[in-house]
Amino acid sequence: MELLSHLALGFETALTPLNLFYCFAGVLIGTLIGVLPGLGPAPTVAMLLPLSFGLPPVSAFIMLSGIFYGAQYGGSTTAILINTPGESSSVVTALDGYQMARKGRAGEALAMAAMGSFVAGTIATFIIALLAPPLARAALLFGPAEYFSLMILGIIAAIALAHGSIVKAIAMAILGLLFGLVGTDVTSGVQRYTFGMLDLYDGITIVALAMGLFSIAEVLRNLDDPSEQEVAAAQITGLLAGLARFREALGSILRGTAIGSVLGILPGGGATLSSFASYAIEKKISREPEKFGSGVLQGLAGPESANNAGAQTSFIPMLTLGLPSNPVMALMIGALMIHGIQPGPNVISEQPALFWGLIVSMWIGNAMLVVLNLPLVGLWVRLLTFPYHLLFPTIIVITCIGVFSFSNSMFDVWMLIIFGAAGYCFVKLRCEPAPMLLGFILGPMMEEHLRRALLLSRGNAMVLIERPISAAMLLLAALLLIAPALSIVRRRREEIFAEES
Amino acid sequence: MHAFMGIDRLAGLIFILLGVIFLWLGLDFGFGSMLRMGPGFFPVILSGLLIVAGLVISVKSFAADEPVTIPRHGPMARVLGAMIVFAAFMQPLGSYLTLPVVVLLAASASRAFRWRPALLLAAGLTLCSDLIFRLALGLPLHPIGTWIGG
Repeated sequence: MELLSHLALGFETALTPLNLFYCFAGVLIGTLIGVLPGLGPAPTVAMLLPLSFGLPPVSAFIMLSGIFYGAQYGGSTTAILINTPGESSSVVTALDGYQMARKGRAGEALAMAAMGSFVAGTIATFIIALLAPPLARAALLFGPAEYFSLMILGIIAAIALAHGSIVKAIAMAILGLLFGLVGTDVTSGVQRYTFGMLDLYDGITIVALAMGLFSIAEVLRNLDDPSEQEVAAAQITGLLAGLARFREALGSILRGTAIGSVLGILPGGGATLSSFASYAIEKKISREPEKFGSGVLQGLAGPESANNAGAQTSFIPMLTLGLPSNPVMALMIGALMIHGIQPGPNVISEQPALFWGLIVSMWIGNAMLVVLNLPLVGLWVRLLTFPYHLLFPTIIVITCIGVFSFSNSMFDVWMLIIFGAAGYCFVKLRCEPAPMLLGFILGPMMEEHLRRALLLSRGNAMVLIERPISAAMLLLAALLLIAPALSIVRRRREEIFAEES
Repeated sequence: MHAFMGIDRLAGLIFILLGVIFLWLGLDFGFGSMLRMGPGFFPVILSGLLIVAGLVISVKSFAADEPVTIPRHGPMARVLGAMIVFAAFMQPLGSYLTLPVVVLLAASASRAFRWRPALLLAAGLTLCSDLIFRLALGLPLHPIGTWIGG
């Protein structure tokens, strides 16, 4: 069994004391920061990215992934206890989770979220282990034309499934692509958009851009919100009762896991859509759908599992195709490149220890999360009461220091300020910053693939639609943009919201 | 809170403006040909698309739009100001003098600002970042800056 020997390599890598430590540290720090109200996974990972640069690549990735699913998990805790979802995928968790907490069943809700996440994480980890290698092998057959189209598909999918105006999201993605081109052109050596500034010759630093768009803009947005309030946490009782009711929710957990795993693989699908889809399905098959929204166990367990499974399987396109399906994966790709690893189908064959170690560490990390969270929940509750007016200056200081120390350059801090202000303006104009980050990561790669594709086809742009796989991907992208199915998805989501509000 | 323009129209105009700037600069890079894409090829196409997208957004805004509300600029100015202080004075003055100012200025952006907790936070963060970032992680955060003999 090839898989077994691979998993053995994975365990060997992930179980070294050093990597176990980084896995634990990642999960702990991720939960710690993710629990803080108003901090979702993307700003958490962006803020902690610089911490990982001094580490060997494997440890760095194990830690970053730990931070990611730790933050994801911490976000659910926040959503359940104080109804402040740190990111869109926790919105659904808050629907029934917060109602349970209000009825004094906070412990039960937390225990269920932990168990659901663990089951989902375990299954999704196996799905990655089974699916990623064949997918990567298939991707090796891709030529530059296929890659170019795949990236278009990735961007379009991410746009189509996000909320808000599609045209604005497209404009943001294009803007990101353009910002990605800043710096020295690799082929010709021409300086593009550098204005003669030496600091821009290597391009805009991803850390400055990501932290500006996510961490700083987020702080500014929160300050703007008149409801900037201190929170009172609910009392936690009944953790064990939650564990006892595990059997009742098992069906929802497994259904949620299945939905999340499938949607997570799709570029742009990811955690948010899967939690919405799972909630809708649980409600549909429930015998008492009218009770949803008033604290139903299934309405919490399903979406919570789905969002965790989706978060986990979104690693598949990132690891096999080099295609980020959400801002966190875009940051991961940035981190890969900073460590000198070219993202794409070669990662699995060239860096087997990294790939399999990462997968095994995900499973270990999920187990750690359960162990960490159930007993420590009292500590997280106290963190929730940390007032925002002291939290955000801390975020500002850590972000500035992180960006500065990343390349020991104050120039990047100035860039951070610019992108922070710009990101805030974009949010005010209802333009989501996520497509811009995806574009920024993909810009240089898309240009290179397009250049090669055109060179190979002797300058014939039709190559993009003459090669069947490439044509299929472009067709799919076009369908995503125009399909009526999209409006159904949209209506579906609005329905869910309308019913709950 | 004063409305002067629709948010979609403003967004569209910003995209058009950015597109024009990127296009104008990109035209100098050398477009090349379909066979050999020059360094200007991709930027020019993208800028063109950005302008088109901006136009679409602006045109659509005539159908339905919501007015821009100018947010309170105080908090934003203070937070960005704090970061500017960090960028400008961290190296010349060092972290012991700069960080407390950064923290206090940022903290004052909140309505819940009180001097006592903010001063404690400023002292705590300055100390902690010195311990964690400089001593434990070995980052180049000089406690005393170059202007004052550090």
